[in-house]
Amino acid sequence: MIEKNNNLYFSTQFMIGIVLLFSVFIISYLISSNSYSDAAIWIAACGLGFTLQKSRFCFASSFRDLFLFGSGQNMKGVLIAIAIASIGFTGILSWILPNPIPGEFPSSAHVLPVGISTIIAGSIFGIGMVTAGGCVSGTIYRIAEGYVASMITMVGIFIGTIILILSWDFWWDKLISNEPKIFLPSTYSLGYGFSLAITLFLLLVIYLIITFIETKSGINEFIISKKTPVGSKGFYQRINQSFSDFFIKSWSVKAGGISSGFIAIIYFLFHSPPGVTGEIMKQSISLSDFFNITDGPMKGISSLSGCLGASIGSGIISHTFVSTIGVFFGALVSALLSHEFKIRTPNDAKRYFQSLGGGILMGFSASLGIGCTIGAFFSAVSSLSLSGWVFGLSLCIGSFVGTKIIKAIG
Amino acid sequence: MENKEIKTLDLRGEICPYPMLKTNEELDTNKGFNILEIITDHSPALSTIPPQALKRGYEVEILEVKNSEWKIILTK
Repeated sequence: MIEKNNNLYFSTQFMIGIVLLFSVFIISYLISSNSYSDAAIWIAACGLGFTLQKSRFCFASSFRDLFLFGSGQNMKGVLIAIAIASIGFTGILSWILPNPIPGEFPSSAHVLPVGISTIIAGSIFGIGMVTAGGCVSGTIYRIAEGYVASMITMVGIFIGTIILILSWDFWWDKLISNEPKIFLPSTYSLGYGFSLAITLFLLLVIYLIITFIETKSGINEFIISKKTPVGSKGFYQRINQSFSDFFIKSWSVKAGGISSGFIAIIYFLFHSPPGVTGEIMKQSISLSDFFNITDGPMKGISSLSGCLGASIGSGIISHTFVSTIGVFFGALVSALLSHEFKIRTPNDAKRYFQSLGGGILMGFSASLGIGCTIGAFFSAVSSLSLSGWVFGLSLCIGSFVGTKIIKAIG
Repeated sequence: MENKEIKTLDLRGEICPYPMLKTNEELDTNKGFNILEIITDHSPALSTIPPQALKRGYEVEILEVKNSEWKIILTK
């Protein structure tokens, strides 16, 4: 987007970035001796982290900016990502389970319980992500960019997750265990084609509503005009240009949406839809066990898919490990190549409390909702699960409340 | 029109959405400047501040001061 300095190559950040870029594949090779699927998901997660950092893909701003600035730029990217993933997921779902009868759905899909718990989780998550200035995936890639506030948010996410683990039995008994898992193709006998058509139609309607909001607010996209003269270029210059466009310059949000959508399909092809909170939940459970503050394993967890369900894997290098750490690693490679790594500390002390508080809310609600904006919203809507839509709508409500809170904090 | 009052707003260290919120606040309340210079190290601000400024009738120029630090110049 912005023309970068030419002396960018040969800088320390760039060199480390290149080394880490190669390590992505070396690490994948090492993981493959243990599990091919983990090795593939590692690369996909790195690709997702890379995409998120390059396009500054942000779920928090996609909801928040609608209310705050009447800007739908980021939400449009999210909608594109969901549309692409839905099409790919439908293919995979119908391949796993060709004739869905009511009550049946592919167990790896993010078909999560839907009910009061979804609404509570989505609303609290919406408040948390707007207050902290980024959702869980946003926090992960901002840590890779050197944001100290995001590191504090991550501490909060762990605290929030542990609070939820301690009160899990209450939520499980009162709400989650009684809530249905509604898979559009089977529960209402809609079939795959019709379910996908409804999903895409709703996404289109939302796209139009956002365009209407943008029209009303009078906002326009700002495109930086390229001042480089058009002339004949040599072979080296052309290669350099391609490299720079892909690895160094930032991407548009729409390009980020397209990339995220396809990466999500790769995730599902090798394992299950993407999520980033699995490892955080797993480590929080281990921490709780270590300090002996829980009474035995969490009830019903093995009957759940999504990030919480995935967190019961054993070993250090697990599916959740590669999913979460991969996003961080990919974002780090991206930030270093673009020379965007910098330790950034907020000047205002209240930002630390805000980051911590937002993180606690997100950790708590991501476990209650069995996933975050990626696992319980993006992957759930794309898995043709009703829960994704309810979670998304609740995120909207929470974000609206969140904008009031951040304005009050100032 | 000829008095070129320049105001500088240092927003380094601020995270989303404060760079945009504070810029908007400045643009909406202060009439004492013709040029507002914003210094930021938060890259998302580069894509969110310009549309807001354009909407309010400012011209936008972005300079990369150093790595991960930008100056956004808004001119009335």
